[in-house]
Amino acid sequence: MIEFQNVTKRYGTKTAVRDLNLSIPDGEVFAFLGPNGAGKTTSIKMMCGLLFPTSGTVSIGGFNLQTHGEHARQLMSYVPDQPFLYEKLTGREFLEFIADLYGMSREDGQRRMTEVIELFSLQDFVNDLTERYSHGMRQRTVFAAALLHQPRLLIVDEPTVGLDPKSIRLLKDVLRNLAKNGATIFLSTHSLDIAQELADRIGIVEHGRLIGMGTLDTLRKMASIDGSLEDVFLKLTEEAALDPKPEGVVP
Amino acid sequence: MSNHAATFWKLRIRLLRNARTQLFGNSRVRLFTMIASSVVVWIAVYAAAHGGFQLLNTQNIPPGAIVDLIFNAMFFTLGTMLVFSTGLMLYASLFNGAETRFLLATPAREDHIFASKFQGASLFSSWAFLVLGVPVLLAYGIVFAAPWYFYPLLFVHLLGFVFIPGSVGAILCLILVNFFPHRRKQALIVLILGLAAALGYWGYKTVMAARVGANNREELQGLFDMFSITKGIASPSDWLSHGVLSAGRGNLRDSVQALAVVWSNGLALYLLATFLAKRMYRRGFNRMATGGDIRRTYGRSRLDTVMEWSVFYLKRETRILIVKDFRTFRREPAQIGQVVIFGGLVVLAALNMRGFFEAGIPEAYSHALSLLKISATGLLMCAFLGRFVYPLISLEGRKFWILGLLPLRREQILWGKFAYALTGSLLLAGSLGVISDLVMGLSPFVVGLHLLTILYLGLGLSGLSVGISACLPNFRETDPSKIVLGFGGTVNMLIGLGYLVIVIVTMCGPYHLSRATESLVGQQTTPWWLLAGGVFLATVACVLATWLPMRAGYRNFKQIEF
Repeated sequence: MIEFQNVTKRYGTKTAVRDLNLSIPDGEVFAFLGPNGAGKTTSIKMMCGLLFPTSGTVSIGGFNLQTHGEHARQLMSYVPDQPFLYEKLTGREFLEFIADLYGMSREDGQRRMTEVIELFSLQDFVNDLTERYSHGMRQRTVFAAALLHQPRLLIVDEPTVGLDPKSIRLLKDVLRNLAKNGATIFLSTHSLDIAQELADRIGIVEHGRLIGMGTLDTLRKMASIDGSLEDVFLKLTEEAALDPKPEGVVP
Repeated sequence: MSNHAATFWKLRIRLLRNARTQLFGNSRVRLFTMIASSVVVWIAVYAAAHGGFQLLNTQNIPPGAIVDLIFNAMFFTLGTMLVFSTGLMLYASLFNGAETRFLLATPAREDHIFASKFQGASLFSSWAFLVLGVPVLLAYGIVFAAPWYFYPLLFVHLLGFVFIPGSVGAILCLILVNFFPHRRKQALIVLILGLAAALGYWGYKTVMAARVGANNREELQGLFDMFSITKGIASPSDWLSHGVLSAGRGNLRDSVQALAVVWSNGLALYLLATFLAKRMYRRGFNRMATGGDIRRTYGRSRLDTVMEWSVFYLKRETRILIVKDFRTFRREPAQIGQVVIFGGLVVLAALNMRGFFEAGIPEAYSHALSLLKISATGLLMCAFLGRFVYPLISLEGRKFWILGLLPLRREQILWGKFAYALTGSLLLAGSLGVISDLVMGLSPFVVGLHLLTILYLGLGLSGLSVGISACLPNFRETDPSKIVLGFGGTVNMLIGLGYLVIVIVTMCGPYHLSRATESLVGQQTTPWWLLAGGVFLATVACVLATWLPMRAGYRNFKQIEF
């Protein structure tokens, strides 16, 4: 579903992503971890077509983002860490807009809206203007909108920010079910327990380089320790920090 | 692929409908203010235009060439304004908004997103046509008894014309972002300042030609020639002017022909803009986002030291807060750009006025111009404080706990904001006032009087902006322009404008009017006590405008919980 081939992304003289090669199949939950400024958000923005790679290609579902971006984006949904809602629309109107944007039929749109409103318990506020929503209400509405058209790929940046424990539990169940039904989930997070609990594979990125990828056991072997994901993550990122590649040089 | 154009129309209609419902329900004062101020300007423009056309009619002056020239100049000016306003609005909405980041991650096509934003920007930026252009054209039709079809054709002509400058602005915006991603702001400021300077020079030459041309046929022709840049077969303002005037004169065939030229060119340019958007919008977005380094190094500037030094009389903690506000201001190029453009326009106006003074115009006119100039400076202060200082307290919003936990009395925070507002506005308006007064060659007494007026304005307007914002903070909003347009911002603007009128009328009005009258009738007409009384009244107004809102603001501010 997701293919990064030799992807490098530079901001002026700084390299945010270095020669990234990544292949994520259908139905996998993939967690992308890394310290602040490691290149996670840049990679996500390239997957959505918001940024173009300086070199290399990014493909979603076989569609190159630069040449067939519309088709690639039709397959996916993106939930950023600071989600956007139209302040002067109600939650229901926003969902209708999303249904229209993804070309859903009226009947299909209404049916799915009823389902996601119920799934995320939006009934109490879905007819209010979104400008009155709390952060948690906004986050739940955005997730409902993201799942409305039943995407084959869901990209989520920091999924649990602003959610209460009950909503986090609900979200984890929803993500598991999505993956079970064949959708690919790409999670970028600092929450290591979420990654450990949900992800089939974990990728760790540091200074734009993918320094480790695989299941938790694979990563433990790489780090030569038998601890939690937190221990593995800290070990690998500390080692990578001690061996930084020079600026602008692709390893 | 779905029909995104229809989806965006539906979205816009819903947004407008919900905003309208809210406006009628919650913000009636704001709605009334907007409508009332538009109607007042509309009536004033109509009355002026009607009077002018009536003069041509009653004096039996052949209106042909003169009206042609007026319409050409008006359409050229409004068209130029539309190029920049549409371009700037598109830049903000296409490249700077959270909405576009959201839309670009959906299957919506780039040209559909662009078209949606273009229509919105054109609608908002063409209000000048409604408020300034339409009353002039209606006055023309009524005075010269235009046929009935003049009126509907007028609107169809204007609608078609809007596409031309709007599309040019959009194309400029796309080119700027795609080819100058590193220096786009500097390139835009240079472009605007260059155009303002060219227009200023053209205005100066035109004024000079108009002054001499009254007595000299050749110079009169020179005046007409000054407008030649707006005329010609390739000039859209000329097509529009020709189409509207043909309809007004009963020549329907010529009018429709011109209408076809305006619409076909407008739509062709719009198509070109959408074609470019399809290819360049996403590319430009990427270039802009990755144009520079991820991290830019910021540090203390000498300007921060100057700012801190200028409020040396305050406690160190308060000075630190002031430097924080100043840093936030100077790191926003759009804010600096607006101040530079406003200030540049006042200096350009002063330079043009100097032309009149040097040409030895009657003293009465020179006093009217001087009064006009100090009023413009006051308006600049009002706009500056309303736009940049009023939102400061509301913007503390979610960070208010930082201020709340500081080892400072809250009174100090408010007075700190007041000192920042006063110092900034006095430095800006004071230097502008002195420079423009000296450029115009005014006497030291007038320079002193104007400086005192600026001091009074600075004190009162700063007190109003800080005091009212502390009384009516809007901690939920993070966009300063929306805070300014809210209820509190509208109240601040209205009271500020009222205070400005009171100070100008009482401080400067009696002196300039009496000197102007004296120069006309040759004897002293205004007793000294009237001048002194004006200054006294202005002093009382200044004390009240400073003290009352600051006191009310402080009472509310100290009770805010965080």
